Amino acid sequence: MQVFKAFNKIMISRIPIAMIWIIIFLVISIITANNSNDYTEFIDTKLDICIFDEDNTPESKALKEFLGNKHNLISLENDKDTILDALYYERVGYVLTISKGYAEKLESGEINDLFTNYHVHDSYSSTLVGSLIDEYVNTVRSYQISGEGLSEAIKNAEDTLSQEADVKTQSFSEESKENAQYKSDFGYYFQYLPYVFISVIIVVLCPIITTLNNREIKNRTNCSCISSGSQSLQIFLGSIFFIVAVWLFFIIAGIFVKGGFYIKREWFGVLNSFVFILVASAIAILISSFSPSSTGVNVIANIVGLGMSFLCGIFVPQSLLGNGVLKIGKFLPAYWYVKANDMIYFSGDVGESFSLSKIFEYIGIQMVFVVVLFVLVMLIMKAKHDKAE
Amino acid sequence: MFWHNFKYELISGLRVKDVIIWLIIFPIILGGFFKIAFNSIYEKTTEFSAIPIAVTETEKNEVFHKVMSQISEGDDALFKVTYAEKNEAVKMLDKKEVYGIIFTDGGLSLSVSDNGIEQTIIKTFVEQYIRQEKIIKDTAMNHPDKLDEVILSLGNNVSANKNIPLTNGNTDYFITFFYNLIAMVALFGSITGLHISISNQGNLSPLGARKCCSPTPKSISLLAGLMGSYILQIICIIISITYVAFVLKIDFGNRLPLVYISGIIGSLMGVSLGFAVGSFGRMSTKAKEGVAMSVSMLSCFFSGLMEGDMKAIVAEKAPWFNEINPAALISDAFYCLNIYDDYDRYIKKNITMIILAVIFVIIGFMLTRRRKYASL
Repeated sequence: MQVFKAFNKIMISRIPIAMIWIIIFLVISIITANNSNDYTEFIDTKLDICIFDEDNTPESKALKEFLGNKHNLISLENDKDTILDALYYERVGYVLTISKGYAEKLESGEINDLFTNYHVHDSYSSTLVGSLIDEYVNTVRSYQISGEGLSEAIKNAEDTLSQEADVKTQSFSEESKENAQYKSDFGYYFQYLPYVFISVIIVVLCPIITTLNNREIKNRTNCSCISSGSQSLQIFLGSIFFIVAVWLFFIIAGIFVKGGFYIKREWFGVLNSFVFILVASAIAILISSFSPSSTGVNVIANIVGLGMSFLCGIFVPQSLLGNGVLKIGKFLPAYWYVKANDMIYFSGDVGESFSLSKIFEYIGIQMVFVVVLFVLVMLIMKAKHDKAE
Repeated sequence: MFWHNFKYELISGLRVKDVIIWLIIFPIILGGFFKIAFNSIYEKTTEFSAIPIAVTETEKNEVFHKVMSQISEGDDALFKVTYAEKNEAVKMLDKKEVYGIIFTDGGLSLSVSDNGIEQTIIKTFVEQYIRQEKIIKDTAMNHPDKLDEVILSLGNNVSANKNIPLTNGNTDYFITFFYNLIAMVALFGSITGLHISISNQGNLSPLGARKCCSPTPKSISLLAGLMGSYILQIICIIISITYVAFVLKIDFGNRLPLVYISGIIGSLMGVSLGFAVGSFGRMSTKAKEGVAMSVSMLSCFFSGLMEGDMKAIVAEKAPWFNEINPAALISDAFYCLNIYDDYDRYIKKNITMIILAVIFVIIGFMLTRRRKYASL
């Protein structure tokens, strides 16, 4: 088992560099699990808004309280740069300043320049909050015009504005209840897996295979008493051992991230991830047949890993990608992985509704990629062999 | 002697093809991916566009009809309205062609299939309509003489709220991915920097051993090495920025020359970082390459290369880290140029980068110089 032992020795020396991808991956999945209300999903109507009250009168406080009931008030430092950063990265949806003299102006019926707001994006949130504020002022004005005093008008306005529309939520699929048990937060864990699989497998497997295929080492092994069949078998065993270990690590880590064992449909996700790690290994073996240098391997791992992640909908959901990208994505295995994963965790939202035949279809397509990649590797090896002779 | 070393450093740098080629090919390929992936996201998620809705009129409501046609016209239309029978409308909602259905039977009611900001805006509109109806009814009951005035005031476009635009720059925040891409190229310069210290350490490379017994002072040969690497790295970063700005047509704001300057300062920092990492301890070349890669990748990760929100999260949890994280410094410098009109923060970022570069170089010099080997 000399070859197998050598394989493991090189593998162990590559583990530290693989760790950085593992750390990056775990941090990303923990963040997304705790940060699910990002720009695509606003839970109900509440936005984070910030109000600076320069007027500080009962009237302005009433407005602040009114807005605070509809949205979450957060406080920011009143400093232009801080506000700009917060708005730019959408950490806050709206920043409003109630100008000095707000109450007086309102009392006298003047409604120009009561407020100012800081503006960065022409966004949905600025439309939403802006129209609410306009409506508030308009309603107060209307009651004033109809002959009421300011405080009464404010009270009436708030009363009127607290009327809510009758909203029915239609749910279409009978399976929506079924879908609800697969938490989408945890779905992101599986969604990001291809990135870490590709990166880790490439940075570890490529150098091992390249080293063992190094001409001098190869020649030395060939003149030993180990048959070439046994050599290949040991390399194969070593690879399988490593791949399964990586896969098991992430499947078990998944149980901890999720805080529970996998249930029903999620087992297809587990199967899906196993097939994908085979794809990743096939890619790694294909790359190592070009014998890249050690720096080259790191860069290739980045390009293939990040590239596939951005083109196939791993970092950016497929529903947000343009049609052109999706057309390219279809020629990459991760696209089909994500499609299957969307079906399991995001069914009824961005994913298609769950069906067994589709799941097997998508997993099957990935298997085809594995076969094609291995055939490619064989062809390249044969070509190299012929050339060497 | 300096020029001799410098010349050969440049020549041998150019011969280490994989490093240089990757430093140029990498941003071209990845930048292309980013461009394709992020092309339309900002318009799709952040920027407001008319929301498609369906209206099912079971009872004719002239006023409502008129209001609807008013707010769905023009460039700043709020809704894109489709009038449809109930069954058809429900089908559209199911296919997610519309975000909601407004029914006009007696009062208004709304059906949606999901939660979200679009749905909330539709709901707000329906509520607004219902409330205005209430105000008019209230007035008609209590102060019928003021009715006309109130209706007029309801139709008024209020200008109570004044927009203060905070920036004239490009507000598409997906361009931060491109900032980070350039930051990554700059930090990958650490691989070139690493080889300077390795080729000067006798215990790590035969070249280092040869240099140890040459009469040239270490400081001169190190300096020549650094200069050579700086120049190669600067060429790489200029190619990357040019590619991103002119081929991918990413909008860096209107101060492009300063973008190049920050890129160059960033790459000086990257090379120096590698130089310092290379001088530490007796680890093998491969292990040091691993450390340099890990440091660069983690730095880029915390600056938002893989997850765009990362820098904002760091800014909330540990703001000091953004002030010293090399990748964040580079991408922040670009961000400042794009977003801010003044130069305060931009200058601060660049000075921090220069200070970091100087610290790295000093560390490298202190650890590599005057090292003697009893045997090799």
